[in-house]
Amino acid sequence: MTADVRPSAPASGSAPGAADGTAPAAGAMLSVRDVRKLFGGFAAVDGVSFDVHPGEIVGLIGPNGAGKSTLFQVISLFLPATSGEVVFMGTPLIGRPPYVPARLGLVRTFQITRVFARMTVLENLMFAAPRQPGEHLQNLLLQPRRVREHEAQVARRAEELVEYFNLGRVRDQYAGALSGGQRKLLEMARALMTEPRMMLLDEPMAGVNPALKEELLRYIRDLREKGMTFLVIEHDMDMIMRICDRIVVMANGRIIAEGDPQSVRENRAVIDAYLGGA
Amino acid sequence: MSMLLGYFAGFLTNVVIYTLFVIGLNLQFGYTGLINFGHVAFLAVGAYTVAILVTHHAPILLAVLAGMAVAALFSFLLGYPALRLRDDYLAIVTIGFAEVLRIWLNNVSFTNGPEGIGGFAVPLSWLPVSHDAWRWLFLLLCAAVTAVVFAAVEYLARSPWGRVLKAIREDEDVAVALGKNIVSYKLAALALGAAIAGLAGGLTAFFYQYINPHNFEATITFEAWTIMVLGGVGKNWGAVLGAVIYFGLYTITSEFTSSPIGPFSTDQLAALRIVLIGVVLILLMIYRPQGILGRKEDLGLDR
Ligand SMILES: Nc1ncnc2c1ncn2[C@@H]1O[C@H](COP(=O)(O)OP(=O)(O)OP(=O)(O)O)[C@@H](O)[C@H]1O
Ligand SMILES: [Mg+2]
Repeated sequence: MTADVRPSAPASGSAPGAADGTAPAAGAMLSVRDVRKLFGGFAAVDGVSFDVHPGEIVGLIGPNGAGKSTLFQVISLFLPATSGEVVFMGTPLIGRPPYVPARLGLVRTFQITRVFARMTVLENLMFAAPRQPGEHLQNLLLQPRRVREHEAQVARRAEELVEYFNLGRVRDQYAGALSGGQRKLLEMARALMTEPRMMLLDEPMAGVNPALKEELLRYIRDLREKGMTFLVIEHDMDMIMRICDRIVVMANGRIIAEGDPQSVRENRAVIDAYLGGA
Repeated sequence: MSMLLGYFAGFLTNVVIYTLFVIGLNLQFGYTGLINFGHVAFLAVGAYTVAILVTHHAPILLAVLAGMAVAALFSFLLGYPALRLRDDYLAIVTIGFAEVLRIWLNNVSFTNGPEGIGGFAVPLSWLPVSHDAWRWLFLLLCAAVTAVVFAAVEYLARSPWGRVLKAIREDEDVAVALGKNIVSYKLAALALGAAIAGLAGGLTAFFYQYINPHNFEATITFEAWTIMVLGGVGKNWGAVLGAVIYFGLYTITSEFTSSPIGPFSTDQLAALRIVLIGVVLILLMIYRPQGILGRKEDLGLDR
């Protein structure tokens, strides 16, 4: 593995996931440090370290069961890490409640799309807006005007995203009535409502038709142009190769390779992991 | 005639108080998805707090507010540990609490045990009117209180706060992933719902003018659930409609159980009546599973 964009990254393709120090690299947006997650005795994530830098699109790939989703669960604090640390924009996350990452600007989506079925598309979006005064009872009672004004602002932002994602026609429909593709778009739009700096996407292209796939790719690229950072789990190699600046490859809970798309595609360990059915 | 009218006032008061009681349950389950199988406990806490305080000459308004606060406090003490674990624990904890509370009320002296408490002052008693007239005035008071709570809950449900409750009901993991601290919302919804039940309890105490532990059996919780499901979960108007229909059925059928019919004794008729109500509810659930005011589409939606 030669063409790594990070000067500090290990130069060999063999298991660079082993602990390579605990200090996050300077300038990293997300820093994963020697994270382990055991289920009973089984190491689903077995000492994983890597960084994601501002403005990057990093792909996380690997065979089924490699531990990618589990790593996402740990990063997003939905599962407690057995050991290791995750630092987002200088703030250590491990051990904090799971609502914290989104508040800091790190938002995730789920491998299987999850929408609030009995809420309208617009409600789904408005819910996700951060720091809403109207979410606190005392403000509803004492500052109804401030609540109303902020709510109008939130509604405007939601309308913008509805337009951006072409959901205008269904904006007042229950999200449970949307098609699979529309749900994908809604989930992405809803994540954006939190005003994130970085998005963790778990298989955004799963079950998506080719046209929508191109559309999603455009959205991801466009958002990156506007400064968004991405860490994307994906099995769709075409998509990964086309949009990722860098790819991290996992198998059996460890990182087996890391580098730009070209070098990863040619990496022996990666080819073996996929063909050998790790 | 006047007796019939008085009876009618009593019927309506019952409907109104149950409506209030169910609005509290609906805030917890219909909006937030919290399963409270011990709602009657908060009714009992409100009723006993009011009865005891008013017996000791506390002002009525103050006693009612205290009843709401104590009910909310108890719900908080139950919910705080239970909601941190798993949602179904709340169901277990509340149902257990309601039973323990009733048995406890039956066995301690400051509540007069099974004899209960009576003879305390009631609202509007200073008005120089007949007892029948008082019943109608008290009905108006209950209706006014319920209307205010109804409007307040509607306002909250439509606010960003209510939106968080609905999101928790739909998928709490997603709500968390989007940055909301859901435990505090669940506790608030639980406590508000319990306070509303406590208010209904205070009104119950004044309505009966005499309360004992027997008034707070577990069946009352399940009547409240029935009314909520009947009217339409998550709809405040559903609570009103459900209460009218449930007690309508209950009252109409009671006409037929006052004297033996054919081969049936009054006891058997009383049992048959429960069966009849059950059958009507089952039919309703078959043909309108979403409740009377619910939207059919709501049931077909998947996540
Ligand atoms: N809660 C759990 N308890 C026990 N084992 C688990 C749990 N969650 C995941 N695992 C195991 O951990 C391993 C990694 O699973 P994970 O879902 O992270 O894989 P993945 O890389 O996301 O795979 P896929 O590409 O199929 O989504 C699997 O062997 C899985 O069975
Ligand atoms: Mg996965």
